[in-house]
Amino acid sequence: MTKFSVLRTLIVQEVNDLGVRSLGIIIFISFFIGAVVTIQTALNFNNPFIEDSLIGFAARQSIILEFSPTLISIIMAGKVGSYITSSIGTMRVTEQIDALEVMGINSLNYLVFPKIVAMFIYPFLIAISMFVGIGGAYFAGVYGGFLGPEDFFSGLKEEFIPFHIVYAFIKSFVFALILATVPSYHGYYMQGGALEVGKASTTSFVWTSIVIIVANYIITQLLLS
Amino acid sequence: MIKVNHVYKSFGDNHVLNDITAQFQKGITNLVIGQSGSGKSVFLKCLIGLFEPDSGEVYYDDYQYGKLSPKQKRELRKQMGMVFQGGALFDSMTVQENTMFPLRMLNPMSQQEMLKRVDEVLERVNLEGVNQKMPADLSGGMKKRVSIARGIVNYPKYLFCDEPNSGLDPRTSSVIDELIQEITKENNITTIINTHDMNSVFEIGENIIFLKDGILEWKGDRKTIHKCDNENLNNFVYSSNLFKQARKANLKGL
Repeated sequence: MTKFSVLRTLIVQEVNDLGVRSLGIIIFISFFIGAVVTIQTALNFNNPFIEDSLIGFAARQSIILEFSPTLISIIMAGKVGSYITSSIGTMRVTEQIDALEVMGINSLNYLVFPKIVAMFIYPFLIAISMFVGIGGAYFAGVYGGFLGPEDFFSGLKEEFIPFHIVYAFIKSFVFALILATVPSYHGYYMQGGALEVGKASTTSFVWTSIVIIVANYIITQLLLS
Repeated sequence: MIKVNHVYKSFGDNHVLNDITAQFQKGITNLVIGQSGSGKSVFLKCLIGLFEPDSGEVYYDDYQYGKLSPKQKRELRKQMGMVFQGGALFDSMTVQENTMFPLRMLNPMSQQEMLKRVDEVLERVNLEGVNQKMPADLSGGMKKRVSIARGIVNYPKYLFCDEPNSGLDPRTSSVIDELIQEITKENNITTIINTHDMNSVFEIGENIIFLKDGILEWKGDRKTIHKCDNENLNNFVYSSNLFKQARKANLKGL
């Protein structure tokens, strides 16, 4: 077993590498997705019998249920997933993993376990994404002249089901496990040289995305239908 | 001491090791020589447990490696040091962190004791003032020395070196050879070196085995290698004119 003090250091480092360093891109993407979703919704609601508050409602539902947990996770499969696969893969081809094994260190435990634990922070990142996304929706909706602030907030509160938040966080937690394990698998078990590290990163992104999308379908079917 | 009895290893139809039996004593430099592709690296990986032999036994002193439980194997591995061909230093760590790594992971030493030990081994491999440098900032020879320092920092009983002087200039290569030999004698450890460097063979080859296509063709030392009549070994060792002339001179007693 890896020493606890070493493990703690590794986990903190991974929280920084995988979580904190992804915050910028998550905030950036979430804000603009929220804004674009609102504009698209507003432009398609041109029936005078549909209330403006529905724009806020639609933005909330799409951001909380799908865009923040799922779309951000697929983007993270590219960012975090490629980072994990290439870093572990490079360690494999340069014999650093063999070096760990020869020292009597469980390399899987040393390399993968801290990443899994660190990804427990992921639902918090998704929560930030939801807030920022709704902020983007407010900005585009209100300052773009599509609806007033009262209508937006009224829509946000309309038919709010708290379980949707639970559902989104359950999804985020499952996606976090996928984001930590699938890329680690592709990095750890790769063979070859530098070229293969690149190929493994691409394969890892594809498979992580596929697993996330399938898991999304299964979780939705189980929890919402 | 490490003893190998009738070890076989294949990858599919490719029979890499065929019936290897050898013994490696402690306190001397044991060399495994052979051309590229002769099975040296696979043999070394079978010894340290990175590959499992298809059949045959590997003994570490009184313990048969294959019969140890996973936990016992990990405990045994803690007594091993390994110098990889490319160094296998951890890119994200400084020289000091790389060298300290086995201590930090495996030893209950305090931080101060670890730092003291790291300074000792870095001084031993003639590397001072580089503690805070990253592996990317080091030359090939320095990387090898850091790798040796990391290999010996945890007082190993067994030291394995996979082509420790490949890619190095002759002077640095010779320094690395001398260093490994000195460390072996100082600490009375069992050292096994994979090499196809003829200078190493003649300088530090106290016990040599020669592999050809996965078969052990010859055993001896640097003194008997001159008188050997194995054709494959002679073709390998005396492939350069310089060594051919040296052999003639040696046989004539010049």
